[in-house]
Amino acid sequence: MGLEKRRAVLWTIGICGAPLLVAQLGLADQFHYSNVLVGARSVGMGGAFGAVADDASGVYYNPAGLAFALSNDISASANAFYSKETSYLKTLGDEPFIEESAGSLSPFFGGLQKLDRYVPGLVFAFGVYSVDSDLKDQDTLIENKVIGSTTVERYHRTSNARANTNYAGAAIGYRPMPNLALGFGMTYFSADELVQEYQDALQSIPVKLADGSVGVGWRVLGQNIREQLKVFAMQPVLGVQLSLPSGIATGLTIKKGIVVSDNYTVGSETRTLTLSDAQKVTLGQGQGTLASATSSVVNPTDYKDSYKSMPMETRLGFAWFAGPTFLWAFDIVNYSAVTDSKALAVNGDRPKYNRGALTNYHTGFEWYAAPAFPVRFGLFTNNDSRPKIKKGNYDVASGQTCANAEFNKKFCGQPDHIDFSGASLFAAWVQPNSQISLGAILQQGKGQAQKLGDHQVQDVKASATSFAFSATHNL
Amino acid sequence: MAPVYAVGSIGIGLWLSTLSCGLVVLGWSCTKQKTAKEEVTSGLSGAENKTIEEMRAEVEVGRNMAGRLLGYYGRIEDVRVIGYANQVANYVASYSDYPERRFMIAILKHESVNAFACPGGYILITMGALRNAKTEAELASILGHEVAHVGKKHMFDTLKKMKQKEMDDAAKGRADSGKSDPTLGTRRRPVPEQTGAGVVLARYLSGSAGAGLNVLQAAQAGMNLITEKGLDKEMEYEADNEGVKYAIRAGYDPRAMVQFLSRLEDKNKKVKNLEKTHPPIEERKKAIAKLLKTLKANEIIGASGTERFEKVKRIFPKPEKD
Repeated sequence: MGLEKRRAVLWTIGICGAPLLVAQLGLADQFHYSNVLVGARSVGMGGAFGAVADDASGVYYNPAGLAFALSNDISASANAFYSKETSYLKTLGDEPFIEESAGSLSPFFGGLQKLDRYVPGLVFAFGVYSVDSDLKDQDTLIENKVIGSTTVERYHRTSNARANTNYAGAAIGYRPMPNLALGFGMTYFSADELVQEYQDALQSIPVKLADGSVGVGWRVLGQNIREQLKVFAMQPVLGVQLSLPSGIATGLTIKKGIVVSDNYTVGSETRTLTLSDAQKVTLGQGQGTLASATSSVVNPTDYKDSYKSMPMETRLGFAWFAGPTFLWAFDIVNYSAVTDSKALAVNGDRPKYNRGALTNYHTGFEWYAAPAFPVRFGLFTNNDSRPKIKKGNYDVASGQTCANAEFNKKFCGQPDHIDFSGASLFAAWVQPNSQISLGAILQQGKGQAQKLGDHQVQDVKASATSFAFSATHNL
Repeated sequence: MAPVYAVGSIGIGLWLSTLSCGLVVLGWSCTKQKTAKEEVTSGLSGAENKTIEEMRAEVEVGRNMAGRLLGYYGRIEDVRVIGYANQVANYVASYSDYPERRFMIAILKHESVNAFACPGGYILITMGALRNAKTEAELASILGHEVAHVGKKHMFDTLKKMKQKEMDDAAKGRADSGKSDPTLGTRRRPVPEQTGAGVVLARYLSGSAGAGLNVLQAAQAGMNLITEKGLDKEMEYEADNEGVKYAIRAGYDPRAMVQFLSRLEDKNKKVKNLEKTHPPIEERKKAIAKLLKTLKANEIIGASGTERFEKVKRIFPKPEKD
């Protein structure tokens, strides 16, 4: 039985079957590809930069764009503040269960150098950037909560997580013809996600007493779990960009990561006690006798090929350089499906890191309200690569429950599916050789989840806010 | 001449160090800069501090310009040829009005005939100019001309006197190489006027600025002057005259500069850029002839240094394609 299943089922045994505690771990997101927008100018334009890419962020968006750079530059940006909240509606009775994280730092740091002295039209750039970075330190305490026929006297969860998905790469752009540029880059990819959770609860359950009547019993549960994903990969990038004197530009970028190594480690310890009302009273004094106890320990286990491969990313960009003061851009980014990840016994025999194909859309503009004050605005989608939640026809009488292996695999404990839409707004202050910009990125998400690991489906609302700062200097 | 804006000799290393000093450790660099400055200037008067600040800016602008020129043209790496050019330049300079100054000479890997005097003492002469010379006296006269430009601060004072608008335009002229490239032209963005706060920003992002000048912008404007517009004609005539005087004082043949210029008159292609930034050769020759008459140069017997020059010429690198 899978770990997440086990966690959920542990809480649902008994005649009332009221589930409570969360079965899906709190964080670690390899399933959205636009959690963090990369770059200095591009971040304000909603990540629509595939047909522009004429600064150091071309390493990420389109290395061909580097060849159209106007000057050498260095740039850096950082998310000064970040917060994310995911609300699983009607999970605790009518109340939501909320996952929170904050305080990450997601920098972009890059530089661009023209190499005309060696080969006319050749440009080199490097970039170090993060596409996902999160920190979580959440403590949740719920007391005396009545959920259905069950009373939760006490529920406590401590969830800690850190997740970083970083890239470091270099690229060259070359202009063989005045309007055409080609680009090639090689990027090192590293993902490291660690989640540690502890949860315990004291929950009332109806129990059948010796005389046949139904009385109150109590269940004490405790669980520790730790999981970590580590992936290293190399990602070659090819790009082409056509930029016409009329101001119309188009770009195509293709990336395909090759996983060099990956490892998913998970370990857990789960203990349950069931005791009578009288025993519960004396338990605090250390005098009770436990009616029953179970424990389940999963020693830390390594799973290779759990991540296995990365999607192919195809970015098609359009841009209109309407004049010195206005630029509009639009990108369509498609990610192929990843279906060869190894199934995890701890995950209900599901391949946790299989991802479906998806397409994100990015659009944005840059408008110089004054020569020293450009404003950048963008809209984008950040869709979920996990499959949409399927709702099963749950029916106890016909055995269509999570106890049924087939039903369970199809309709219980499915991973979250949350699609985001985002907007970015940045204002910059430009000087002849330098610029700094400041702005915010907001994302709103909607989706569904089975947070408790059973057949029930919760609607999910999520939001993420970043305040970011960037500085660029032309040489 | 193709537009020059590559940051060649600044190089990746300096690039990265600028980056780390300027962007990553913004506050730290701020403190360090102030501390270093205070160490140098403590106990000096306001005027002395101003002079030091100005000298620092002059060197920074010149170094930046020299870096760009070296980056664009490339440099001759034979230390024997470079050493010889430095010896001749500093020998002539020792008889100039600026004997205490140190001049740094590099040779550009290009076959056109030209030489550039960057503020702070950075002098760059093309391989084509060296090849065109027949004697050491001719080389000494050319280098004397550049020494005069530097010593009299022709370039630096021109930049300092520029109004902000002119500076912007000149800098833009360099930055916007896309002017002749319609594709890049579409990507050009507005160039704002530099503000006081902008100078501070540039100082902390690039680690340089001084004497009321944005060093990077001044260097860009300087590049525009040195490669496109040229200095004021009177400055060129003055540098010609002073250069000839320095060479004569150093014991060289007074007629060497005229001989060198005469040889250029039938080399149209190789002096195209020189003529763009300097007065007509004929006019220059006339002005020098007038000076020589005043100095009674026909009574001066100077050395030509032909033999030594010929020896060095034998180790010149093979000509590069233009």
